[in-house]
Amino acid sequence: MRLVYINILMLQSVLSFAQNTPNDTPLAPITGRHKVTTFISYLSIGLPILNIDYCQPFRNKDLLKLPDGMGNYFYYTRSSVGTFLTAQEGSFRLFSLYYKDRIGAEIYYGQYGTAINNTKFDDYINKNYSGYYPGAPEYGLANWYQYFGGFEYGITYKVHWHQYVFEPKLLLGYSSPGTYDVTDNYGFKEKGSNQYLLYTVDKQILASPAVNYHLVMNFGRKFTCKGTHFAGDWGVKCEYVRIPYRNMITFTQQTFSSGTSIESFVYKDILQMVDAGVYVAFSFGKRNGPKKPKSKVH
Amino acid sequence: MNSCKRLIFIILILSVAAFFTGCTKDALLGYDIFAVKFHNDDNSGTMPVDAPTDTIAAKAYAIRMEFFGVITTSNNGYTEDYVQYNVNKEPWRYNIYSLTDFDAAHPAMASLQDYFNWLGDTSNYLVGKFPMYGTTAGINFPKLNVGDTGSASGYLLMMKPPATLGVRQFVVNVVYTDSTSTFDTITVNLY
Repeated sequence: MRLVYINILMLQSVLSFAQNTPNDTPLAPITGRHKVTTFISYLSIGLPILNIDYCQPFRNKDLLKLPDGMGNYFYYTRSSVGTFLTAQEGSFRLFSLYYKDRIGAEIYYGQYGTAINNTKFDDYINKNYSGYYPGAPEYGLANWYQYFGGFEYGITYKVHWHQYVFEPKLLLGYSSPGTYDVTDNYGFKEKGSNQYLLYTVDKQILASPAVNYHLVMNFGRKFTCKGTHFAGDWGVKCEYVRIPYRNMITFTQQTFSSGTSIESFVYKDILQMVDAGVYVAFSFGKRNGPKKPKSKVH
Repeated sequence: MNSCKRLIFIILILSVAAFFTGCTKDALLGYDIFAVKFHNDDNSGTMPVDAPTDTIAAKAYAIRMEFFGVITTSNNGYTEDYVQYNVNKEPWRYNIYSLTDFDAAHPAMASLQDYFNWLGDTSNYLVGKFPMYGTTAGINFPKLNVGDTGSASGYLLMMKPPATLGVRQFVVNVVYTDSTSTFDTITVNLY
């Protein structure tokens, strides 16, 4: 039902655009003759959005296909908090252009990532090699962090209602992996002997850049800077991010008595997450405010 | 505007001060390795330790090579926080033998380099084949004057036990960069 309502609003907006009406109110009736207004007066420029959000990644069930139950231990993603400053979760709007403060085209720069907690994988490895002393702490690595970064391009539509604005966005981008190609090394020493075992886990993304999809919902309250063309809105945002990509993981086990054994697996991974937070967005241009009552001439 | 200029001036002064404080003079010391001593070690734990007796399990037998160095040259005005070492004389070639037959493929006085590994870093378990050339443990000297001495250790791990256990004598040959060489024999009872 909400979608139908949004579609009606969008249709009315397109019709009002075609007739070049000066009345910005989305539900305004399109009747009568209107004064011709220049096209540029309807454009507004969106300045960067400031975000502070909480990010919750989804766990990829496809990883359960990894052998020896490694998927149960390997990718245990964890949530985190991001801001536009760290840019580790969430995107930073570089620029947008709105027509009549409704229909917009936007460019973002975003970085999306999740931390991977290696603790369970470490426990799993140590359990597998119970006849050995655990890996040297300086040799095994700390928690992994994988992220994708790049530009995103999207369309947006603002629904104005009194002092509030509801803005769904659809973004599409191409992301390159950050410092992703990671090799973890574990060193083990057999109890009671001179035998050592070196265990290496190497991760590599096969396809780059990866396409990413975003669905964003902003709900905020409008504000204006009186006497200027600066305006904006602040409120809450919710975003769903999906980045599918192919990954290859290689396990190498090396001992001096039995030599080297290598196993590689290629699998499809999906980095999925939702984040929710607060935002402040600024814009410059003509603000679409609430409908003013017409003054009556007596 | 004046306050802005003042701020820029202060930042410049601080930057120059930071630059000069970052430039410290390093010490460059030259030293010689003048002796190598061998110890029987037991490597059944997380790292080799000197064995209280010469009776050691063959599969955990290790030889600790203790290198002794002496500072021979020094520059003036060094700071003790940043020291660089230059080894003027160091072991260059190594070899290890058994005075009796080790196994069918290794009769007495045949090189046993295939059976020994070099444990260079006990904290990271960095193990490699025992090299013929250039393995020296870095020495951190407690004092930094010419004539001061210090020592450091590396470990030779026996990766394969001999065909017959019991008392065995190994000879380790060390050839230095000035072509001088030393031989030493170490005796162990392997079980």
